[in-house]
Amino acid sequence: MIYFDAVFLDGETSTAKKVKCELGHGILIIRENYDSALRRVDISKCSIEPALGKTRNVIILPDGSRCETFDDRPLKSIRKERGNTWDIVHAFESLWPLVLLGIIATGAAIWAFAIFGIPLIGDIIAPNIPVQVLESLSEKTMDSLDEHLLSKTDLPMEKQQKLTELFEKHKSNMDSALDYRLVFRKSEILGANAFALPSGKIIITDALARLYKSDPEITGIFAHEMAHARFRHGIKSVIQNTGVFIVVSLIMGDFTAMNSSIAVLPVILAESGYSRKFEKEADIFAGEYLIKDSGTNKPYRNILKRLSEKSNFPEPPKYLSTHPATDERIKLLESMDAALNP
Amino acid sequence: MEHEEYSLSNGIDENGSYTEALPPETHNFEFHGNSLEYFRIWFTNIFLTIISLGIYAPWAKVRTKKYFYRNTILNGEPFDYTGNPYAILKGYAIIIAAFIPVAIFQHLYPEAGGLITILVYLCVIPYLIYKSLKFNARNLLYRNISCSFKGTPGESYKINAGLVLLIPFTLGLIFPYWDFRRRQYIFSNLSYGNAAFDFKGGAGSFYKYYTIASLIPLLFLFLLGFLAGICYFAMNQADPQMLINIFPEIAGKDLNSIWIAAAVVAYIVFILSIMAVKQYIFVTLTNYTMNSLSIPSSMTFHSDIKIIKYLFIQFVNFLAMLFSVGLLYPWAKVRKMKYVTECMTVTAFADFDSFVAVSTPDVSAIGDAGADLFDIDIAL
Repeated sequence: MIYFDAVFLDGETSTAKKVKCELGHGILIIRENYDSALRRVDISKCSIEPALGKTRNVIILPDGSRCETFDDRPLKSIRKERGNTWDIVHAFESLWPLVLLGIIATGAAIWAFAIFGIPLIGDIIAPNIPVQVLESLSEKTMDSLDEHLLSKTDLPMEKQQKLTELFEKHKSNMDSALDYRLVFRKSEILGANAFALPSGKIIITDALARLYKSDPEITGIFAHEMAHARFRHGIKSVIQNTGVFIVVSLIMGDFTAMNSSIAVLPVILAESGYSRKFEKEADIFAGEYLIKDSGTNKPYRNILKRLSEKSNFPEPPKYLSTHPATDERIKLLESMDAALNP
Repeated sequence: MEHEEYSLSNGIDENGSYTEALPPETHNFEFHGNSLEYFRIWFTNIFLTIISLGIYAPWAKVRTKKYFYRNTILNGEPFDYTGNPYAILKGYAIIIAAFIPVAIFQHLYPEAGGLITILVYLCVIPYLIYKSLKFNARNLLYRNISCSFKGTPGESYKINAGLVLLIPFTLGLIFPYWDFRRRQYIFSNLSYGNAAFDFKGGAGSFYKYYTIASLIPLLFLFLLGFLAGICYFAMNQADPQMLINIFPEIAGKDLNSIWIAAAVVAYIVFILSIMAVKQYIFVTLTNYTMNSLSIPSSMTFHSDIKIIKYLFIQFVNFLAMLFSVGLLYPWAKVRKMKYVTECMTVTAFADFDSFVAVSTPDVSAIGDAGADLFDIDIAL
């Protein structure tokens, strides 16, 4: 028999009655004074609220009235009988070592998912996206670029033809799933630059076309850009960034808007990380292609160096950047050369 | 911020004898939660939500709400939140299912999509707000008596679609009026048991506070201009000597990192200025709303959050979360809730025991779920 003090709230008026309770043999008796009983119920018909920090324990009777007490003894025996799963949750919350372990485990899990899981999802989905979708996406992007960033090329016709012929020659060494084409544009903002759209359309700016000094140099650029399209980096980027967004939203679900500005940093770090990985892949492909084609990738290294010297923008810090640092890229290409030409 | 003075005139009870009205008693809201406790609950919520791939989210939400409600005490008795996680989960499922076709449509037809999306939102959000208010009122419990919300969907449409549509057309001038109508809709339709709330606020005060709030960024503009100047010098590497004369320490340092440092500081200052405006609005309008709230002939509510103190609390919270990568969030939230809650008081002219329950049917959680998923702020 357990005797305990409690507060009784009948659910019909807002009165909070101080009561004395008895719990034994499966029956809960609630008394206001010693002669009469306010309630006499079968405890198995009552629902017990899960323990929550140091708040009062709540027993809800079948008629909706509540018996609330700070005394843990009656609740301990009831919860033990019922084997309440919530007590596992409550126990987890109460044991500091478990919580700390949980923090480390969760942190590791999120990190592992970001590094391996999300790229894996990208690898699985991207090849299954039909080429028509890539085409229509690229067309929309091209229209937007032409509207805002790019203007008609100023490059003389013979130069365009020369580059196009060179491009076509190397395009034949690529897979035929995509329709690789070279287009010419001018852009003050972007300076000397080239980029690949998912459909295989490669855009080269006039400034870059004027910067190269030999065929192998520009071949390196072509190979790098075609690699982006071939390995579906564009579409994988979209998939992976969406994945990051969903994970961050899941975690941040409990947060108020004030924290959303803090959430931006991990997202940027994650997205830049994926971008650098793609750039590295494209560089490796271009380096290998040049070595196969002409024995060395030095021309590609030269033009990369020239590009970084002529650049409009200072290089951002390492972990916020979309590209690996130019020195890093050149070192990697050098090591590829050295391995094949000892 | 005047409230009506209730006269302490005597009444006559059913036996014909005079009854004396109670002398008014003022009670403070108390908050008994602490950050260590909440940290463990918060972290467990995140952990279980992640490993359950999100399914646990409604239970996490209910547990959080219960923790804050049950630790809020008025006149010795706590509040409680009775939302059913299964109902909320169902609500989430319905909203997500309905949202997917809209998202796909938006993707396929971005030009028409934008307009259609706005239309869909205008048709759906006011109803979700109405449902959410009904759900949250029904699940707000004090002394085992729940609240209820008697507002109509129609009025929600007038305010959350009609007035909202006017915001761009009036260049935002109607925004304070919309905020006023929105709060009036919530509070004048609220009841605790059989006792209806009364909201005596007026739109004029909302305009006053919003106007003052809009002047706050001017304070920050000066700081931002100064930082922008530093960025300009560093970026163009124009006459670094001038800059070195002002800041001798930077002579010889890499101008690149100065540019980046100044940009980062400018970004933080920009965020802080927006936050300051938001906090100012929150403090003044929460105070005003509570001070305009009463249960006629029995209770009046008051709130006296101090702006400077609140700004300071939020600023420290922001720094704490920035440097702890969000881990100190529970500490920050408890700190804020404790201060805001304990600035509220109730002056009671009637007995706390004198309220009576009114049978209120259960409400579906679809509105509450929708408000969550679309990040609609329904609160004060």
